[in-house]
Amino acid sequence: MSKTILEKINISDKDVENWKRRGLKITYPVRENPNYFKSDDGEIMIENADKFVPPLTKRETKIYIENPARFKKDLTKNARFLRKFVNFIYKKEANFKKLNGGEKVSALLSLLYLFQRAIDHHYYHWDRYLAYENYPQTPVGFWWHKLMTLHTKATKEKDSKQNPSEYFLRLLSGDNKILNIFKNRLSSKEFSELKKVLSSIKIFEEAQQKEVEFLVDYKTNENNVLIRTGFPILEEFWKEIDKSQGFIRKEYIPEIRKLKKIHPIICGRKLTLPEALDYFDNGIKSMVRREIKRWTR
Amino acid sequence: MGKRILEGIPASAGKVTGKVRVILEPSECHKFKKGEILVTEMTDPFYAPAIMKARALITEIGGLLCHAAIIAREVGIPCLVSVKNATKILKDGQTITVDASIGKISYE
Repeated sequence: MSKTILEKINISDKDVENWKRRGLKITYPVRENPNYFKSDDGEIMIENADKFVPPLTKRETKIYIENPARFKKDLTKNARFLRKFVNFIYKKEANFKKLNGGEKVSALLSLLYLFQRAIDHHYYHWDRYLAYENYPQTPVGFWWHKLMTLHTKATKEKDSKQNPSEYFLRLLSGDNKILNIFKNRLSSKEFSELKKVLSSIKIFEEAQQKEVEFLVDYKTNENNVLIRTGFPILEEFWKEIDKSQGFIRKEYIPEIRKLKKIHPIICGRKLTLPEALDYFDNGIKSMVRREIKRWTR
Repeated sequence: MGKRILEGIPASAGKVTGKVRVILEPSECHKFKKGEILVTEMTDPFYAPAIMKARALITEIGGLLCHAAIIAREVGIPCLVSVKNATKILKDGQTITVDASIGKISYE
């Protein structure tokens, strides 16, 4: 059987099996999650807000509410894994140059697909939940809500998402003076609950800091590993597309032009949605589909 | 001209007055002088050298659990997050007052 498009740039079946065995989750097609949480302004994460979210399962949510340290452990483990996988893609990226025109487009689209799905899995399954303090049904939100309740009880101040009080912020900082005030205003049971809440929130904060450290590339001291890998794939993709309009089906040329103008992070995701594959000629489409199949079977 | 106001979400308490330094890339952190107010889109660990010297921190993106908010609370400086267009509106050298207790930045 002939080689798949990424086999041609030295990504073997053995590599694919190895990544899958280590826990890489590549899904096709991307599924819409109708129950995703929406912030008040509709933009949970400014750059990545969309409806395609592999969420935490109910079981995972229960475990992480009970055990925030487990969330931190699993999130950082996955961040480390994501970094390794993205670095793997980064090292193979330049090999696309030895291919011919249509093959180049197919290889770049396939790499973009793998890159995007690995990131989506991490960001939507883990990272996004760190910003869900206003949703009590999530792990961080559960503890945040308890903090708000105890804060209101001790201060009689109404909690505000947009304007948290100085007391509240100093409490989050672990200010001992404020803690003593709370100690006097809460029952001993409530105060010990408060200490548990604060230590849980601290764990989520540490998870966030650890994650940033893993995904920022200290070696090059220039760009983070995600940016240095993802943006060049997209740049090379557009260069190839500009060389020949034959790669795109005529009726979709306006769509492709629109995509080129939007933010690269959003463009990367839209280009890898199943319907976007229809924009390309049949040769490219079948090469990319065959490649994705290798990662999802 | 009267005082103008920008609003954001208070993420670390305190009130200070100081001069603005807009940093858009971590590589620009060397420009940052002790006591200036760091204004940026969002932070990551590369901004640490500037954050440690900053009198206050202002970011355009983020909530109470974003990197900037967590670090600002750790080092004990005022911080406002979600200040829309802060890096475009505020200019290097401009004197501003950050009141993170009420979520407001005032400037001439």
